[in-house]
Amino acid sequence: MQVSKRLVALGATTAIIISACSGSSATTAPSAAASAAPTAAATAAASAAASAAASTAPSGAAASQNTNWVACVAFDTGGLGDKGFNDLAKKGLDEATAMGMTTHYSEAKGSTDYAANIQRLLDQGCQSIIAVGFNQQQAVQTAALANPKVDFGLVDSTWDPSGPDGKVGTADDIAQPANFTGLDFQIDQAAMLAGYLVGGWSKTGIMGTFGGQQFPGVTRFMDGYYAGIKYWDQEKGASVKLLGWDAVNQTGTFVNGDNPWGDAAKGESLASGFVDQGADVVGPVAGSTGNGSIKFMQSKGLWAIGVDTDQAISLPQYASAILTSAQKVIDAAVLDTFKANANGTAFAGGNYEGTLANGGVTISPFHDFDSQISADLKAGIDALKAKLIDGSVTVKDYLK
Amino acid sequence: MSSLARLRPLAIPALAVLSAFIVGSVFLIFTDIPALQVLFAGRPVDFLTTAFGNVVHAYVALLTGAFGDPPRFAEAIQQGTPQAWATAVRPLSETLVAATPLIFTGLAIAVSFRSGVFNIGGDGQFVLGALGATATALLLRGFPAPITLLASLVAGIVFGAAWGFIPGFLKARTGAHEVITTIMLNYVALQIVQLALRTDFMRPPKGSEPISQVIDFVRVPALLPLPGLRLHWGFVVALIVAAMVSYFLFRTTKGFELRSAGLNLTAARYAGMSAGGSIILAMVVSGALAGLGGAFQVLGTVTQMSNDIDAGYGWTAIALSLLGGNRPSGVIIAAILFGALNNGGHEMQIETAIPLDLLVFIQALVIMFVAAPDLVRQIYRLRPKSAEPGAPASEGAAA
Repeated sequence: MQVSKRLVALGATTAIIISACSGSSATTAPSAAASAAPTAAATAAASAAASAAASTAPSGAAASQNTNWVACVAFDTGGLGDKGFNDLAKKGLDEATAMGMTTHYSEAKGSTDYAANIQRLLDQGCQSIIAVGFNQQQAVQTAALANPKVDFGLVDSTWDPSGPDGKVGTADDIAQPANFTGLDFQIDQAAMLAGYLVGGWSKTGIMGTFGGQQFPGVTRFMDGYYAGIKYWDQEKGASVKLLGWDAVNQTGTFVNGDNPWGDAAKGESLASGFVDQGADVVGPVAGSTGNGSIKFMQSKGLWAIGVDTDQAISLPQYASAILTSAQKVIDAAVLDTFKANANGTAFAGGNYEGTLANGGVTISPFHDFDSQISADLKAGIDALKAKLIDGSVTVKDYLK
Repeated sequence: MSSLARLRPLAIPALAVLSAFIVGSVFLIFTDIPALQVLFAGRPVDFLTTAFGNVVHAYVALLTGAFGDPPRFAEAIQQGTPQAWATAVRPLSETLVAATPLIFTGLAIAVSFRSGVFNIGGDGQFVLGALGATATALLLRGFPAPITLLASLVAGIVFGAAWGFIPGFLKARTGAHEVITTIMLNYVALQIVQLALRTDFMRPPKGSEPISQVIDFVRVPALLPLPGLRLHWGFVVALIVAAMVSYFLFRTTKGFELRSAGLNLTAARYAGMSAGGSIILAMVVSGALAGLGGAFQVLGTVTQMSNDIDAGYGWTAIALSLLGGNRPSGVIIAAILFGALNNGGHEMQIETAIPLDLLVFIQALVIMFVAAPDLVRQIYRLRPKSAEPGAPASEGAAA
């Protein structure tokens, strides 16, 4: 009896540790269309984007930035160390600390922590609270309505106006209050540039893409690739094709299953399938699953497009296969939002919109490929970027 | 003397907690990089005072985060406003909020362990209970709230029980080992949740993220009449259910059969009890308890179904059921302890930026010390006692 009891105890101890570990890895999925993003990438992105963003911040006056401010971040169950949105938001928070703001942060183990953590941050005297992940939407919105004097933000999401009836456009809709900022990214703009690059780069004229699961945050990348390739085809009279995503009908290839974001072997086999169909570039939008695809492409001497962060830096072992990455500059977005909150300025439309124009999204440097990409192609990318910035080209126009 | 003797069974768990905190503080001191830099700079005294001060600061934050801050209570007494009282009482309220799902899953595990069945599927039963409750609430939207609420709670029980029935049935009929089937069914349950959260029926019309509509139109009433406190009647129900489980296990024939099967299946069978029936019953009751926990979680605490509704409650329950000696009363105490640790841990992180993982570390240490009573006795020089406190099957009536 004694022995078996101890065995159970050992098992229980192991179980609690395993549950803690698996809890943090398994639940990263929602917030992690993101792939690996070590500090090097984040630093580079932050400094690049911070300077770009400072000039476009609504205050317009970086010189008179108020730093007497308590800035806080509520992470989701992905938690710190997810090498994705949570880590990038932490990077933005650290920049705020470096500027002289007082900062606090909280992590969550389950959805029960969301509202409680925001309340704890409020009790701590936070003046801006930015939450990471769409799972926190309800908690943030409730807190924003109850605490009109505190600023709230939500990474990669916008205000949901549907009131108690859950329907938009009805009498009980709740309008977005002035103290709420959605941190939204028009990543399709950056992905369109990447798609255009593939149009000019691909030797076989075929690119493959797939997502972890069919979320809007995922398909926006795929829309961008589609639009970029289509733009290339129209401009050059070419017939480059995208496999794995039909932007017109919004159908395509997704990993799904119980491990859509962490199954590197599945990523390899999907990439292999695309290569069999003639593709020589893949653009996986599936976290660590995508890393398997990049690895496969590298082994074949072929190429890939990274997502969310500059993956040539975050995955240096695969840098020789990564042409570029469609990046969300989360850290810059978080810092910009804190800065705007501290100065008491509001964003147009109430939301921070990461665009090519304000440096909230970007394609990362070409690194090893810089010398191999022709000047013509680079000029074409710059021209498309300029048109996307001035609005004469939109991604939507190329999804038909 | 007699009252002291009655406290004796608590000595080992209490000392286990104390030991875990001491080991945890050693861990804290030697991961405190700024303090260690002071040590390597050749100022050991400064290092000790800094590191020790940081540990005290962390543990004070943990305690105030779990049970409340005395100055805030003083403020509340002075001002007497509901808002001030809510702020003062909130940490305590949140500790009980955190404990509530753990009581349900802990009871679920205790019932199964008492019956000799190892239900590792608490997670799956919990999330399906939550899913069933959410679906029922959405289906009955527009009906009077009390009816919807009751139906949703029943749905949680039914879904959890059904998910417990499957491995019970498989074990009774085919001998399939429940440890394997329940673990596997956890994954199936999570996939069902994923799938369900993708349907238009569950999803908010605007978003297509995998998260359900908010169901706060049917909500378990708050327990305290103070603004913004989340503690709800689910906690009281958890206590009542614990008493019912205790009665069922130790005062009814069925409960006796379950415990007999748990002690010695062959003997129980020889005595004419239905072994298969006991296994199925144990798993159904166990699943129903976990499912009810899930239902209260979504109807009382978070009001929205999502992938991360479950914070590993089914797993933690295994540890705390053991800590509580597989007795309902023990489960309640252990659940409140774990709730306090989890809740206080968040406050500690916000104030001192110490990772939440430290709390997992401390919880694991508590279990290890409880599992090694001889070690604790030797460390604290306690006299050995013949009757092992909290042994799963050593006492007939408890709780």
